[in-house]
Amino acid sequence: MNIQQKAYSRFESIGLPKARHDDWIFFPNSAFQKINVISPEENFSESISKEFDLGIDTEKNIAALIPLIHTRNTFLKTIDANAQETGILKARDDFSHTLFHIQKGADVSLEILDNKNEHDFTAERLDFFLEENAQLELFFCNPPQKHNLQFRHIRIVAAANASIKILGVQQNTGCYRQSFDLFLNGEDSTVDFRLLNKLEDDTEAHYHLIIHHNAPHTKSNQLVRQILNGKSHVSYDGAVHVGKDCTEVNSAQLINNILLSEEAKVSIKPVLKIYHDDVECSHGNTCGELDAESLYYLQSRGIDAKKAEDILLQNFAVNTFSELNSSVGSKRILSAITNRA
Amino acid sequence: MLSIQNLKASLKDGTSILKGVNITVQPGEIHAIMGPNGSGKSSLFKAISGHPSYQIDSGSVILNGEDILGMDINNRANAGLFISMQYPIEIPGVKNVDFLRMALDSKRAYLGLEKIKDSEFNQLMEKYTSLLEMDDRYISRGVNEGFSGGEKKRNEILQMAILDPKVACLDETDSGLDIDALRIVARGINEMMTPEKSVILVTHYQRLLDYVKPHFVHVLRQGKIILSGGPELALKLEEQGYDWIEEA
Repeated sequence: MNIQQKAYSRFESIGLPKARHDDWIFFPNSAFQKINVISPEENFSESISKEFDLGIDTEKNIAALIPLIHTRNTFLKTIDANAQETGILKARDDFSHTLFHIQKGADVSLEILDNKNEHDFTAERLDFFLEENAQLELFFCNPPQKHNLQFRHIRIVAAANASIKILGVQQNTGCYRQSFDLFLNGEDSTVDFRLLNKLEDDTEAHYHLIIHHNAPHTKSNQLVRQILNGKSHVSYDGAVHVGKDCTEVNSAQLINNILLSEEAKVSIKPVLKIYHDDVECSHGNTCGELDAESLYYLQSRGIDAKKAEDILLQNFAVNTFSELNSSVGSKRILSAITNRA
Repeated sequence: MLSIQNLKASLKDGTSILKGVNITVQPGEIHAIMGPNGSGKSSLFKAISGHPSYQIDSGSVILNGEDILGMDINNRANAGLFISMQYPIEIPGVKNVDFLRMALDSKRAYLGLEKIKDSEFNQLMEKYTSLLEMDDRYISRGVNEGFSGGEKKRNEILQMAILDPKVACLDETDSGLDIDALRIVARGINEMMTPEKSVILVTHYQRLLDYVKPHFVHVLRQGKIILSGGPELALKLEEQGYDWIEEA
Protein backbone atom coordinates (compact mmCIF):
# COMPACT_ATOMS: atom_id res chain seq x y z
CA MET A 1 0.00 0.00 0.00
CA ASN A 2 1.52 3.35 -0.98
CA ILE A 3 1.34 6.53 1.04
CA GLN A 4 -1.70 7.85 -0.76
CA GLN A 5 -3.60 4.65 -0.13
CA LYS A 6 -2.48 4.47 3.49
CA ALA A 7 -3.61 8.06 4.03
CA TYR A 8 -6.95 7.34 2.37
CA SER A 9 -7.43 4.22 4.47
CA ARG A 10 -6.68 6.24 7.62
CA PHE A 11 -9.00 9.02 6.48
CA GLU A 12 -11.81 6.52 5.94
CA SER A 13 -11.35 5.09 9.41
CA ILE A 14 -11.47 8.46 11.19
CA GLY A 15 -13.92 10.22 8.83
CA LEU A 16 -14.76 13.90 8.76
CA PRO A 17 -14.90 15.45 12.23
CA LYS A 18 -18.30 15.35 13.83
CA ALA A 19 -19.85 18.43 15.38
CA ARG A 20 -18.20 19.24 18.71
CA HIS A 21 -15.09 17.19 17.88
CA ASP A 22 -12.58 18.45 20.43
CA ASP A 23 -9.93 19.44 17.86
CA TRP A 24 -12.43 21.16 15.57
CA ILE A 25 -14.76 22.66 18.10
CA PHE A 26 -14.25 26.24 16.92
CA PHE A 27 -14.20 25.43 13.20
CA PRO A 28 -17.36 26.19 11.19
CA ASN A 29 -18.92 22.81 10.40
CA SER A 30 -20.53 24.14 7.25
CA ALA A 31 -17.07 24.37 5.65
CA PHE A 32 -16.81 20.57 5.57
CA GLN A 33 -19.32 20.56 2.72
CA LYS A 34 -16.55 21.81 0.44
CA ILE A 35 -14.40 18.77 1.16
CA ASN A 36 -14.60 15.92 -1.30
CA VAL A 37 -12.10 13.13 -0.73
CA ILE A 38 -11.90 10.40 -3.35
CA SER A 39 -9.95 7.17 -3.43
CA PRO A 40 -6.48 7.62 -4.93
CA GLU A 41 -5.49 5.86 -8.12
CA GLU A 42 -3.48 2.75 -7.48
CA ASN A 43 -0.72 3.58 -9.93
CA PHE A 44 0.58 6.61 -8.03
CA SER A 45 4.33 6.46 -7.84
CA GLU A 46 5.91 6.12 -4.41
CA SER A 47 8.43 8.91 -4.13
CA ILE A 48 9.16 8.89 -0.42
CA SER A 49 11.66 6.58 1.11
CA LYS A 50 10.36 4.35 3.87
CA GLU A 51 12.85 5.93 6.29
CA PHE A 52 10.47 8.86 6.85
CA ASP A 53 7.66 8.04 9.21
CA LEU A 54 4.83 10.46 8.44
CA GLY A 55 2.74 9.17 11.33
CA ILE A 56 -0.14 8.18 9.07
CA ASP A 57 -1.18 5.15 11.08
CA THR A 58 -1.94 7.20 14.17
CA GLU A 59 -2.91 10.48 12.51
CA LYS A 60 -6.09 12.04 13.88
CA ASN A 61 -6.09 15.17 11.78
CA ILE A 62 -7.81 14.98 8.40
CA ALA A 63 -5.89 18.10 7.32
CA ALA A 64 -2.70 16.04 7.57
CA LEU A 65 -4.15 13.23 5.45
CA ILE A 66 -6.01 14.97 2.62
CA PRO A 67 -2.90 16.50 0.97
CA LEU A 68 -1.28 13.06 0.96
CA ILE A 69 -4.34 11.50 -0.65
CA HIS A 70 -4.76 14.08 -3.39
CA THR A 71 -1.25 15.22 -4.18
CA ARG A 72 0.12 14.23 -7.58
CA ASN A 73 3.61 13.80 -6.28
CA THR A 74 5.61 14.54 -3.16
CA PHE A 75 8.32 17.13 -3.57
CA LEU A 76 11.30 15.75 -1.70
CA LYS A 77 14.37 17.80 -0.90
CA THR A 78 17.46 16.91 1.07
CA ILE A 79 19.66 19.61 2.55
CA ASP A 80 23.17 18.33 3.00
CA ALA A 81 24.91 18.32 6.34
CA ASN A 82 26.23 21.75 7.43
CA ALA A 83 24.80 23.44 4.36
CA GLN A 84 23.22 26.88 4.57
CA GLU A 85 20.17 27.43 2.42
CA THR A 86 17.43 29.96 1.96
CA GLY A 87 14.50 29.48 -0.32
CA ILE A 88 10.78 29.64 -0.91
CA LEU A 89 8.05 27.06 -0.70
CA LYS A 90 5.04 27.42 -2.93
CA ALA A 91 2.40 24.82 -3.57
CA ARG A 92 1.96 24.25 -7.29
CA ASP A 93 -1.40 22.52 -7.08
CA ASP A 94 -4.53 22.66 -4.98
CA PHE A 95 -3.19 19.69 -3.03
CA SER A 96 0.48 19.37 -2.33
CA HIS A 97 2.96 17.58 -0.15
CA THR A 98 6.53 18.68 0.45
CA LEU A 99 9.14 16.88 2.50
CA PHE A 100 12.47 18.29 3.60
CA HIS A 101 15.22 16.15 5.02
CA ILE A 102 17.60 18.52 6.77
CA GLN A 103 20.81 16.79 7.65
CA LYS A 104 23.16 17.37 10.58
CA GLY A 105 24.19 20.94 11.24
CA ALA A 106 22.40 22.39 8.23
CA ASP A 107 20.90 25.87 8.56
CA VAL A 108 17.79 26.46 6.49
CA SER A 109 15.44 29.43 6.14
CA LEU A 110 12.32 29.00 4.03
CA GLU A 111 9.52 31.39 3.18
CA ILE A 112 6.12 29.84 2.61
CA LEU A 113 4.29 31.58 -0.20
CA ASP A 114 0.56 31.25 -0.72
CA ASN A 115 -0.68 29.63 -3.86
CA LYS A 116 -3.40 31.43 -5.79
CA ASN A 117 -6.60 29.99 -4.50
CA GLU A 118 -9.18 29.76 -7.22
CA HIS A 119 -10.93 26.60 -6.08
CA ASP A 120 -13.32 25.81 -3.27
CA PHE A 121 -10.83 23.80 -1.30
CA THR A 122 -7.05 23.54 -1.15
CA ALA A 123 -4.79 21.66 1.24
CA GLU A 124 -1.07 21.38 1.64
CA ARG A 125 1.20 19.47 3.94
CA LEU A 126 4.82 20.24 4.76
CA ASP A 127 7.04 17.68 6.49
CA PHE A 128 10.47 18.42 7.89
CA PHE A 129 12.91 15.98 9.42
CA LEU A 130 15.76 17.71 11.24
CA GLU A 131 18.86 15.79 12.16
CA GLU A 132 21.13 16.73 15.07
CA ASN A 133 22.14 20.40 15.31
CA ALA A 134 20.08 21.35 12.28
CA GLN A 135 18.29 24.70 12.26
CA LEU A 136 15.06 25.45 10.47
CA GLU A 137 13.38 28.81 10.10
CA LEU A 138 9.97 28.83 8.44
CA PHE A 139 8.19 32.10 7.85
CA PHE A 140 5.23 33.54 5.99
CA CYS A 141 3.93 37.07 5.49
CA ASN A 142 1.91 36.93 2.29
CA PRO A 143 -0.16 39.83 1.00
CA PRO A 144 -3.81 39.33 1.95
CA GLN A 145 -5.89 37.07 -0.26
CA LYS A 146 -9.15 35.21 0.15
CA HIS A 147 -9.31 31.48 0.79
CA ASN A 148 -12.57 29.68 0.20
CA LEU A 149 -11.31 26.88 2.39
CA GLN A 150 -7.64 26.15 2.98
CA PHE A 151 -5.88 23.61 5.16
CA ARG A 152 -2.16 23.78 5.80
CA HIS A 153 -0.52 21.16 7.95
CA ILE A 154 3.10 21.43 9.07
CA ARG A 155 4.81 18.51 10.76
CA ILE A 156 8.36 18.81 12.04
CA VAL A 157 10.46 16.20 13.77
CA ALA A 158 13.60 17.50 15.49
CA ALA A 159 16.59 15.48 16.69
CA ALA A 160 19.01 16.51 19.45
CA ASN A 161 20.08 20.17 19.51
CA ALA A 162 17.95 20.97 16.50
CA SER A 163 16.10 24.26 16.52
CA ILE A 164 12.83 25.23 14.90
CA LYS A 165 11.68 28.78 14.39
CA ILE A 166 8.27 29.50 12.88
CA LEU A 167 7.34 33.13 12.24
CA GLY A 168 4.11 34.15 10.60
CA VAL A 169 1.98 37.13 9.74
CA GLN A 170 -1.48 36.23 8.57
CA GLN A 171 -3.85 38.68 6.96
CA ASN A 172 -5.84 36.43 4.65
CA THR A 173 -9.60 36.50 4.53
CA GLY A 174 -12.06 33.67 4.03
CA CYS A 175 -11.79 30.39 5.90
CA TYR A 176 -8.60 28.52 6.71
CA ARG A 177 -7.06 26.23 9.25
CA GLN A 178 -3.39 25.76 9.93
CA SER A 179 -2.19 22.89 12.04
CA PHE A 180 1.24 22.21 13.43
CA ASP A 181 2.61 18.99 14.86
CA LEU A 182 6.04 19.70 16.28
CA PHE A 183 8.07 16.85 17.75
CA LEU A 184 11.05 17.68 19.94
CA ASN A 185 12.47 14.18 19.93
CA GLY A 186 16.10 14.92 20.74
CA GLU A 187 17.61 16.46 23.87
CA ASP A 188 18.02 20.23 23.85
CA SER A 189 15.91 20.68 20.76
CA THR A 190 13.85 23.88 20.72
CA VAL A 191 10.93 25.54 19.01
CA ASP A 192 10.09 29.22 18.88
CA PHE A 193 6.65 29.90 17.40
CA ARG A 194 5.57 33.50 16.72
CA LEU A 195 2.35 34.34 14.96
CA LEU A 196 0.59 37.60 14.24
CA ASN A 197 -2.96 37.55 12.95
CA LYS A 198 -4.46 40.75 11.53
CA LEU A 199 -7.96 39.76 10.53
CA GLU A 200 -10.94 41.59 9.11
CA ASP A 201 -14.35 41.05 7.53
CA ASP A 202 -15.92 37.66 8.29
CA THR A 203 -12.64 35.76 8.22
CA GLU A 204 -12.54 32.40 9.95
CA ALA A 205 -8.93 31.63 10.90
CA HIS A 206 -8.19 28.54 12.96
CA TYR A 207 -4.95 27.26 14.41
CA HIS A 208 -4.24 23.92 15.97
CA LEU A 209 -0.79 23.32 17.36
CA ILE A 210 0.76 20.51 19.37
CA ILE A 211 4.30 20.62 20.66
CA HIS A 212 5.49 17.20 21.75
CA HIS A 213 8.33 17.42 24.25
CA ASN A 214 9.61 13.89 23.85
CA ALA A 215 13.11 14.40 25.26
CA PRO A 216 14.75 16.04 28.29
CA HIS A 217 15.95 19.66 28.22
CA THR A 218 13.69 20.62 25.35
CA LYS A 219 12.30 24.10 25.16
CA SER A 220 9.33 25.67 23.44
CA ASN A 221 7.90 29.16 23.21
CA GLN A 222 4.64 30.28 21.65
CA LEU A 223 3.85 33.97 21.29
CA VAL A 224 0.68 34.71 19.39
CA ARG A 225 -0.80 38.15 18.88
CA GLN A 226 -4.07 38.82 17.17
CA ILE A 227 -5.77 42.00 16.02
CA LEU A 228 -9.35 41.39 15.07
CA ASN A 229 -11.75 43.66 13.27
CA GLY A 230 -15.14 43.27 11.59
CA LYS A 231 -16.81 39.93 12.24
CA SER A 232 -13.59 37.97 12.14
CA HIS A 233 -13.17 34.92 14.30
CA VAL A 234 -9.88 33.31 15.22
CA SER A 235 -9.28 30.23 17.29
CA TYR A 236 -5.99 29.09 18.74
CA ASP A 237 -5.87 25.58 20.12
CA GLY A 238 -2.33 25.25 21.42
CA ALA A 239 -1.22 22.11 23.24
CA VAL A 240 2.01 21.20 24.96
CA HIS A 241 2.67 17.54 25.71
CA VAL A 242 5.57 16.63 27.98
CA GLY A 243 6.39 12.94 27.99
CA LYS A 244 7.58 10.68 30.81
CA ASP A 245 11.27 10.99 31.77
CA CYS A 246 11.51 14.34 30.03
CA THR A 247 13.27 16.31 32.73
CA GLU A 248 13.90 20.05 32.75
CA VAL A 249 11.51 20.87 29.98
CA ASN A 250 10.65 24.53 29.60
CA SER A 251 7.56 25.68 27.78
CA ALA A 252 5.75 29.01 27.55
CA GLN A 253 2.61 30.06 25.74
CA LEU A 254 1.32 33.63 25.60
CA ILE A 255 -1.58 34.83 23.51
CA ASN A 256 -2.54 38.50 23.36
CA ASN A 257 -5.67 39.64 21.60
CA ILE A 258 -6.95 43.07 20.66
CA LEU A 259 -10.55 43.26 19.55
CA LEU A 260 -11.32 46.36 17.53
CA SER A 261 -14.97 45.63 16.92
CA GLU A 262 -17.78 44.31 19.03
CA GLU A 263 -18.53 41.52 16.59
CA ALA A 264 -14.99 40.11 16.38
CA LYS A 265 -14.49 36.89 18.27
CA VAL A 266 -11.52 34.99 19.64
CA SER A 267 -11.46 31.45 21.02
CA ILE A 268 -8.41 30.22 22.91
CA LYS A 269 -7.81 26.71 24.17
CA PRO A 270 -4.51 26.12 25.96
CA VAL A 271 -3.83 22.46 26.72
CA LEU A 272 -1.03 21.15 28.90
CA LYS A 273 -0.48 17.40 29.21
CA ILE A 274 2.47 16.87 31.49
CA TYR A 275 3.73 13.47 32.54
CA HIS A 276 6.82 14.57 34.46
CA ASP A 277 7.31 16.72 37.56
CA ASP A 278 10.53 18.52 36.76
CA VAL A 279 9.19 20.91 34.13
CA GLU A 280 8.40 24.60 33.82
CA CYS A 281 5.30 25.25 31.75
CA SER A 282 3.33 28.48 31.63
CA HIS A 283 0.45 29.83 29.64
CA GLY A 284 -1.31 33.17 29.56
CA ASN A 285 -3.95 34.88 27.53
CA THR A 286 -5.06 38.49 27.40
CA CYS A 287 -7.97 40.00 25.56
CA GLY A 288 -8.96 43.63 25.35
CA GLU A 289 -9.02 46.88 23.46
CA LEU A 290 -6.22 49.34 22.83
CA ASP A 291 -4.98 50.90 26.04
CA ALA A 292 -6.99 54.09 26.57
CA GLU A 293 -4.22 55.78 28.58
CA SER A 294 -1.67 55.20 25.82
CA LEU A 295 -4.08 56.55 23.22
CA TYR A 296 -4.71 59.61 25.36
CA TYR A 297 -0.99 60.15 25.90
CA LEU A 298 -0.24 60.12 22.18
CA GLN A 299 -3.16 62.42 21.41
CA SER A 300 -2.17 64.80 24.17
CA ARG A 301 1.02 65.34 22.19
CA GLY A 302 -0.90 66.42 19.10
CA ILE A 303 -1.18 63.09 17.28
CA ASP A 304 -4.67 62.44 15.91
CA ALA A 305 -6.75 59.54 17.18
CA LYS A 306 -6.46 57.40 14.04
CA LYS A 307 -2.70 57.78 13.86
CA ALA A 308 -2.37 57.11 17.59
CA GLU A 309 -4.35 53.91 17.14
CA ASP A 310 -2.18 52.89 14.18
CA ILE A 311 0.98 53.53 16.18
CA LEU A 312 -0.17 51.35 19.05
CA LEU A 313 -1.37 48.56 16.74
CA GLN A 314 1.87 48.56 14.82
CA ASN A 315 3.78 48.53 18.06
CA PHE A 316 1.72 45.57 19.25
CA ALA A 317 2.44 43.80 15.97
CA VAL A 318 6.16 44.55 15.84
CA ASN A 319 6.70 43.43 19.42
CA THR A 320 5.61 39.92 18.44
CA PHE A 321 8.94 39.57 16.67
CA SER A 322 11.19 42.27 18.08
CA GLU A 323 13.08 40.14 20.59
CA LEU A 324 14.28 37.70 17.96
CA ASN A 325 17.82 37.55 16.77
CA SER A 326 18.17 38.99 13.33
CA SER A 327 17.45 36.43 10.62
CA VAL A 328 16.19 36.29 7.06
CA GLY A 329 12.68 35.63 8.34
CA SER A 330 12.59 38.19 11.12
CA LYS A 331 13.92 40.93 8.82
CA ARG A 332 11.41 40.06 6.12
CA ILE A 333 8.53 40.01 8.56
CA LEU A 334 9.42 43.22 10.36
CA SER A 335 9.83 44.94 7.02
CA ALA A 336 6.44 43.64 5.84
CA ILE A 337 4.68 44.80 9.02
CA THR A 338 6.25 48.24 8.84
CA ASN A 339 5.59 48.76 5.15
CA ARG A 340 2.00 47.63 5.27
CA ALA A 341 1.09 49.83 8.22
CA MET B 1 -4.11 83.53 27.39
CA LEU B 2 -5.78 80.73 29.35
CA SER B 3 -9.05 81.36 31.09
CA ILE B 4 -10.81 78.58 32.97
CA GLN B 5 -14.24 79.73 34.05
CA ASN B 6 -16.64 77.92 36.38
CA LEU B 7 -15.36 74.56 35.18
CA LYS B 8 -17.35 71.64 36.48
CA ALA B 9 -16.35 68.12 35.51
CA SER B 10 -17.11 64.61 36.62
CA LEU B 11 -16.00 61.07 35.98
CA LYS B 12 -17.99 59.01 33.50
CA ASP B 13 -19.74 57.30 36.40
CA GLY B 14 -21.11 60.66 37.47
CA THR B 15 -18.77 61.33 40.40
CA SER B 16 -18.31 65.07 40.57
CA ILE B 17 -14.63 66.07 40.66
CA LEU B 18 -14.32 69.70 39.65
CA LYS B 19 -16.97 71.93 41.18
CA GLY B 20 -16.49 75.29 39.58
CA VAL B 21 -12.82 76.10 39.00
CA ASN B 22 -11.83 79.63 38.00
CA ILE B 23 -8.28 80.50 36.97
CA THR B 24 -7.02 83.10 34.57
CA VAL B 25 -3.42 82.90 33.42
CA GLN B 26 -1.93 85.77 31.48
CA PRO B 27 1.06 85.56 29.13
CA GLY B 28 4.35 85.49 31.00
CA GLU B 29 2.79 84.27 34.24
CA ILE B 30 3.67 81.23 36.29
CA HIS B 31 0.92 79.86 38.50
CA ALA B 32 1.26 77.13 41.10
CA ILE B 33 -1.65 75.00 42.22
CA MET B 34 -1.30 73.25 45.55
CA GLY B 35 -3.73 71.25 47.59
CA PRO B 36 -4.24 68.04 49.54
CA ASN B 37 -4.25 64.67 47.81
CA GLY B 38 -7.51 64.01 46.01
CA SER B 39 -8.48 67.64 45.72
CA GLY B 40 -8.71 67.54 41.90
CA LYS B 41 -5.37 68.99 40.78
CA SER B 42 -4.49 66.25 38.29
CA SER B 43 -8.13 65.99 37.29
CA LEU B 44 -8.13 69.66 36.35
CA PHE B 45 -5.34 69.09 33.83
CA LYS B 46 -6.88 65.90 32.52
CA ALA B 47 -10.29 67.49 32.13
CA ILE B 48 -9.06 70.50 30.19
CA SER B 49 -6.92 68.33 27.93
CA GLY B 50 -9.84 66.01 27.05
CA HIS B 51 -8.98 62.83 28.96
CA PRO B 52 -11.66 60.27 28.07
CA SER B 53 -12.41 59.42 31.71
CA TYR B 54 -13.80 62.90 32.34
CA GLN B 55 -16.86 64.69 31.13
CA ILE B 56 -17.29 68.42 31.26
CA ASP B 57 -20.54 69.38 32.97
CA SER B 58 -20.31 73.13 32.49
CA GLY B 59 -17.89 76.02 32.17
CA SER B 60 -15.37 77.09 29.58
CA VAL B 61 -11.65 76.82 28.87
CA ILE B 62 -10.50 79.60 26.58
CA LEU B 63 -7.01 79.35 25.10
CA ASN B 64 -5.98 82.43 23.14
CA GLY B 65 -9.58 83.40 22.57
CA GLU B 66 -10.76 79.95 21.51
CA ASP B 67 -12.87 77.60 23.61
CA ILE B 68 -10.92 74.37 23.43
CA LEU B 69 -13.50 72.14 25.10
CA GLY B 70 -15.09 71.35 21.76
CA MET B 71 -11.77 70.33 20.22
CA ASP B 72 -10.32 66.85 19.85
CA ILE B 73 -7.56 66.01 22.32
CA ASN B 74 -4.83 66.36 19.71
CA ASN B 75 -6.04 69.73 18.52
CA ARG B 76 -6.08 71.11 22.06
CA ALA B 77 -2.41 70.16 22.17
CA ASN B 78 -1.73 71.56 18.72
CA ALA B 79 -3.46 74.81 19.68
CA GLY B 80 -0.83 75.28 22.37
CA LEU B 81 -1.83 73.33 25.50
CA PHE B 82 0.74 70.96 26.95
CA ILE B 83 0.10 68.62 29.86
CA SER B 84 3.06 67.01 31.57
CA MET B 85 1.74 63.83 33.13
CA GLN B 86 2.20 62.84 36.73
CA TYR B 87 2.70 59.25 35.57
CA PRO B 88 3.98 59.29 31.99
CA ILE B 89 3.02 56.24 29.95
CA GLU B 90 5.60 53.85 28.51
CA ILE B 91 5.19 53.06 24.84
CA PRO B 92 7.83 50.45 24.10
CA GLY B 93 8.73 50.04 20.45
CA VAL B 94 8.00 53.64 19.47
CA LYS B 95 11.34 55.40 19.48
CA ASN B 96 11.39 58.55 21.55
CA VAL B 97 12.96 60.54 18.75
CA ASP B 98 10.36 59.34 16.22
CA PHE B 99 7.57 60.13 18.65
CA LEU B 100 8.88 63.65 19.25
CA ARG B 101 9.16 64.31 15.56
CA MET B 102 5.70 62.93 14.85
CA ALA B 103 4.24 65.13 17.57
CA LEU B 104 6.04 68.20 16.30
CA ASP B 105 5.00 67.55 12.70
CA SER B 106 1.39 67.11 13.86
CA LYS B 107 1.53 70.54 15.44
CA ARG B 108 3.14 72.05 12.36
CA ALA B 109 0.47 70.50 10.13
CA TYR B 110 -2.21 72.01 12.40
CA LEU B 111 -0.54 75.38 12.02
CA GLY B 112 -0.31 74.98 8.24
CA LEU B 113 3.45 74.53 8.25
CA GLU B 114 5.54 71.98 6.38
CA LYS B 115 7.18 69.09 8.15
CA ILE B 116 10.28 70.09 10.02
CA LYS B 117 13.57 69.65 8.18
CA ASP B 118 16.09 67.13 9.45
CA SER B 119 18.69 69.76 10.24
CA GLU B 120 16.23 71.96 12.10
CA PHE B 121 14.88 69.06 14.13
CA ASN B 122 18.36 67.80 14.95
CA GLN B 123 19.34 71.26 16.15
CA LEU B 124 16.30 71.43 18.40
CA MET B 125 17.02 68.01 19.82
CA GLU B 126 20.64 68.82 20.44
CA LYS B 127 19.78 72.08 22.14
CA TYR B 128 17.25 70.65 24.55
CA THR B 129 18.84 67.29 25.29
CA SER B 130 21.97 69.21 26.14
CA LEU B 131 20.05 71.66 28.32
CA LEU B 132 18.32 68.81 30.13
CA GLU B 133 21.52 66.75 30.30
CA MET B 134 19.91 63.80 28.51
CA ASP B 135 22.12 61.27 26.78
CA ASP B 136 21.43 59.15 23.68
CA ARG B 137 19.60 56.49 25.66
CA TYR B 138 16.64 58.82 26.02
CA ILE B 139 16.49 59.36 22.31
CA SER B 140 16.97 55.92 20.86
CA ARG B 141 14.83 53.96 23.29
CA GLY B 142 11.08 53.56 23.19
CA VAL B 143 9.01 56.35 24.70
CA ASN B 144 9.73 56.24 28.44
CA GLU B 145 10.71 52.59 28.00
CA GLY B 146 12.61 51.43 31.05
CA PHE B 147 13.02 55.01 32.27
CA SER B 148 13.09 55.67 36.00
CA GLY B 149 10.42 57.95 37.44
CA GLY B 150 12.82 60.90 37.31
CA GLU B 151 13.88 60.12 33.75
CA LYS B 152 10.28 60.07 32.64
CA LYS B 153 9.73 63.51 34.14
CA ARG B 154 12.79 64.82 32.38
CA ASN B 155 11.47 63.35 29.14
CA GLU B 156 8.20 65.20 29.67
CA ILE B 157 10.12 68.45 29.87
CA LEU B 158 11.98 67.54 26.68
CA GLN B 159 8.64 67.04 24.94
CA MET B 160 7.43 70.37 26.26
CA ALA B 161 10.54 72.12 25.01
CA ILE B 162 10.31 70.58 21.55
CA LEU B 163 6.58 71.26 21.19
CA ASP B 164 6.92 74.82 22.43
CA PRO B 165 3.38 75.24 23.82
CA LYS B 166 1.67 78.49 24.76
CA VAL B 167 0.55 77.11 28.10
CA ALA B 168 2.33 74.27 29.87
CA CYS B 169 0.54 72.47 32.69
CA LEU B 170 3.04 70.46 34.71
CA ASP B 171 1.58 67.87 37.03
CA GLU B 172 3.92 67.09 39.93
CA THR B 173 6.93 67.33 37.67
CA ASP B 174 9.13 67.48 40.76
CA SER B 175 8.03 64.16 42.21
CA GLY B 176 10.62 61.42 41.82
CA LEU B 177 13.42 63.85 41.02
CA ASP B 178 16.68 63.91 42.90
CA ILE B 179 18.25 67.26 43.76
CA ASP B 180 20.30 67.52 40.59
CA ALA B 181 17.45 66.38 38.36
CA LEU B 182 15.13 68.92 39.99
CA ARG B 183 17.57 71.70 39.17
CA ILE B 184 17.92 70.48 35.59
CA VAL B 185 14.16 70.18 35.06
CA ALA B 186 13.63 73.62 36.54
CA ARG B 187 16.21 74.96 34.14
CA GLY B 188 14.18 73.50 31.27
CA ILE B 189 10.99 75.13 32.51
CA ASN B 190 12.63 78.51 32.94
CA GLU B 191 14.19 78.26 29.51
CA MET B 192 10.78 77.70 27.99
CA MET B 193 9.30 80.73 29.72
CA THR B 194 9.05 83.85 27.61
CA PRO B 195 6.75 86.85 27.96
CA GLU B 196 4.32 85.15 25.54
CA LYS B 197 4.05 81.89 27.41
CA SER B 198 2.61 80.62 30.65
CA VAL B 199 3.11 77.75 33.05
CA ILE B 200 0.79 76.16 35.57
CA LEU B 201 2.56 73.95 38.06
CA VAL B 202 0.91 71.42 40.30
CA THR B 203 3.15 70.62 43.22
CA HIS B 204 3.06 69.53 46.83
CA TYR B 205 6.34 71.16 47.83
CA GLN B 206 8.07 74.49 47.92
CA ARG B 207 11.33 73.03 46.63
CA LEU B 208 10.36 73.27 42.93
CA LEU B 209 9.15 76.82 43.53
CA ASP B 210 12.61 77.74 44.80
CA TYR B 211 13.80 77.25 41.24
CA VAL B 212 10.68 78.18 39.26
CA LYS B 213 9.26 81.31 40.86
CA PRO B 214 5.48 81.53 40.65
CA HIS B 215 3.60 84.80 40.33
CA PHE B 216 0.47 83.31 41.85
CA VAL B 217 -0.27 80.35 44.11
CA HIS B 218 -3.72 78.76 44.33
CA VAL B 219 -5.11 76.22 46.75
CA LEU B 220 -7.46 73.68 45.20
CA ARG B 221 -9.59 71.74 47.61
CA GLN B 222 -12.60 69.53 46.95
CA GLY B 223 -12.70 70.60 43.33
CA LYS B 224 -12.61 74.36 43.91
CA ILE B 225 -10.00 77.08 44.20
CA ILE B 226 -10.47 78.13 47.80
CA LEU B 227 -7.57 80.54 48.18
CA SER B 228 -5.18 82.44 45.93
CA GLY B 229 -2.16 84.51 46.76
CA GLY B 230 1.42 85.36 45.88
CA PRO B 231 4.53 83.19 46.26
CA GLU B 232 4.44 83.68 50.03
CA LEU B 233 1.33 81.48 50.17
CA ALA B 234 3.37 78.45 49.13
CA LEU B 235 5.82 79.06 51.97
CA LYS B 236 2.98 79.32 54.47
CA LEU B 237 1.43 76.09 53.15
CA GLU B 238 4.77 74.35 53.44
CA GLU B 239 5.02 75.44 57.07
CA GLN B 240 1.43 75.10 58.25
CA GLY B 241 -0.33 72.67 55.89
CA TYR B 242 -3.90 73.19 54.76
CA ASP B 243 -5.96 72.99 57.94
CA TRP B 244 -5.61 76.66 58.80
CA ILE B 245 -7.41 77.60 55.59
CA GLU B 246 -10.56 75.90 56.78
CA GLU B 247 -10.14 77.52 60.18
CA ALA B 248 -9.75 80.88 58.48
